[in-house]
Amino acid sequence: MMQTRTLTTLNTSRTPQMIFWGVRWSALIYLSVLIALPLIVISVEGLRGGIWSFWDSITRPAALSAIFISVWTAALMTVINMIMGTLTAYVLVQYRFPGKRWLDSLIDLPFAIPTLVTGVMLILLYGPQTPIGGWIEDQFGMRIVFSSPGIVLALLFLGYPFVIRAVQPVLASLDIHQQEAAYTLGASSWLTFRRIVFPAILPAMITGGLLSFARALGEFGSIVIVSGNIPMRSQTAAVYIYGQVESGNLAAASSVSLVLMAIALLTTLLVDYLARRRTAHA
Amino acid sequence: MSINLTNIHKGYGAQVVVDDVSLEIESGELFVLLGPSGSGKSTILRLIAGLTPLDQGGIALHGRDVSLLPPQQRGVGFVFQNYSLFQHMTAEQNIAFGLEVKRVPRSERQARVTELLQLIEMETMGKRYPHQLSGGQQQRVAVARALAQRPEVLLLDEPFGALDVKIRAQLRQNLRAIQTQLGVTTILVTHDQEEAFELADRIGVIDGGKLLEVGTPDQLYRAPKHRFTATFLGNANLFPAHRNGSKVYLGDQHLPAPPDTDHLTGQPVEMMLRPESIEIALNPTDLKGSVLGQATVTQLAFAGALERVTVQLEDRVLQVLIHPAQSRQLGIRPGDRIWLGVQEYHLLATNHHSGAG
Repeated sequence: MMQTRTLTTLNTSRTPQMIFWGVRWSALIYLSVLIALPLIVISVEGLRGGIWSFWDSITRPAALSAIFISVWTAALMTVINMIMGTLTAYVLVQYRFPGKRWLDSLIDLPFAIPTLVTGVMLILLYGPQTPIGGWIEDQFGMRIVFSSPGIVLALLFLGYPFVIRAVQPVLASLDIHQQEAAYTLGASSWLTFRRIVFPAILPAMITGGLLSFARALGEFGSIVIVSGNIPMRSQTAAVYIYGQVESGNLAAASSVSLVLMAIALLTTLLVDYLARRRTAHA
Repeated sequence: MSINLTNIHKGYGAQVVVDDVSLEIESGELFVLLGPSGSGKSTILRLIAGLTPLDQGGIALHGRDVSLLPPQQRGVGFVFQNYSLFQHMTAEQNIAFGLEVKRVPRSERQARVTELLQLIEMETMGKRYPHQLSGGQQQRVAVARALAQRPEVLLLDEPFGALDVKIRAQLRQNLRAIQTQLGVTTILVTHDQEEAFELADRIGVIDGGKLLEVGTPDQLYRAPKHRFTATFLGNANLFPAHRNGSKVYLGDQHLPAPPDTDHLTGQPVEMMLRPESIEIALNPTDLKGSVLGQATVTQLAFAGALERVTVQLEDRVLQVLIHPAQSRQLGIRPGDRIWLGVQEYHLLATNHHSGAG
């Protein structure tokens, strides 16, 4: 019996193995062509003039400010979305209310809406000529559109689904008895949330947050419309790169691109690391 | 009285889950609530712990009315069926959690955790996370966590349900030993009658949200008041009978009425014969108890330590358990005619209770 089985395996194993190799190599080649190759090209281009020229390109005041604005707006958005996204996920998991399913599908909309359209929507809503935009400018002396708050607003819209979609399944699969156990041990609802629920969802919150951060860092479409692109004040790195490409300065464009990419890569690696650690614990 | 339930009631919409249950449990007692799944036994436990709000009735723990108190203030230890340990905390941290909440000083907390780890025989495993522990170890940590604050009452919801049969037997003994040592009043919920027999000081049988009867394992096994109890606790041969004068009539046969059954005179009763209390002989003179009549063997089956013999007595089918040695000695085979006798039998008022499960 044992021998027959071995023989059969040997006879039929050649074809599946070839298919296996074929699939593996086509996947690897596809990945290289699609992702690795452009990465190499831009790295080479960014460092073509040597490390000092690269350093000069990215430390130019306009470039530095653009990178800085990109990072802080994305970071601020990440913090806000981590809190509000978790809250939304909590409401969606914990409560029943009319229109819940409708709202639940609405959340993914920012994934699908063209980012340019997002920009246009924000201008129509908060532009200086609109009632809301005008009122805010009168009351608080603050401009939303054509300024950094507009950038954050656009990024908040884009990043909204990330944290929710990361936290929602974790919250839904949370063992309710763990919370009840904490209650019987004397813990209040708040303490139970802080000590039992929060540690359980924190990795998902961070993962969602980091993903939205990486996504926001390179956002172009909505920002180019909303921010006004004032160098040193409301110009983000992505828009800066676009400007440099337009004016033929490819070296500067690729240098700043390289910085953005490095940040995105680090973020992605961090997400991967966290996911690994989480599965090791589960 | 340690736990006092008065007419407690819980329903969801039209569905009644706990139906007017009253129960008194003594200090230090290990009480087992036994019933099929969906009978409402777990809900009773949750009502006592305050995890499910009560619709009607009262719950007192050690004379203190806790009916309206939140779970935080009831002072009960609860062990969940799947243990529900805090996954991101070590065994030690799990056990210490309740003490931390109560702001017990660190040194005292540490001493208590060490003591409890010793109690559950896991001194060396305090630093492990739940996912690094076996099911049985997780269960013991859950028990230790529930005991950490020295609760007045310990509630266990099917604590052995998720374990292998082998480990189950050992953990049962451990739990009983711990409970006896600490003297903590305990209610354990289970659907396993063997577990109930082994652990319980007293058992409460529940079905369809109703507490049918309460008694020691022996009482409930030998003299149940309800048909459901008779059939749920082991196997029972039950036949309609009636009692008149000093005799019980079972079809054409009559047997002496058991003592203390006068009150059943004249009403429809059922006679309960446990399979192991029926004897088989080739001649009626060999029987030690009362003669039931002559029957035909229809089936023989191996049942571990005993042999299960199915016999037909007129139009009634009976299950009988005898020792394999006796079976060999008698040399019985299907189709043989044998005599049946009975040494112990019990009468219960006909009460075809129709509950859930």
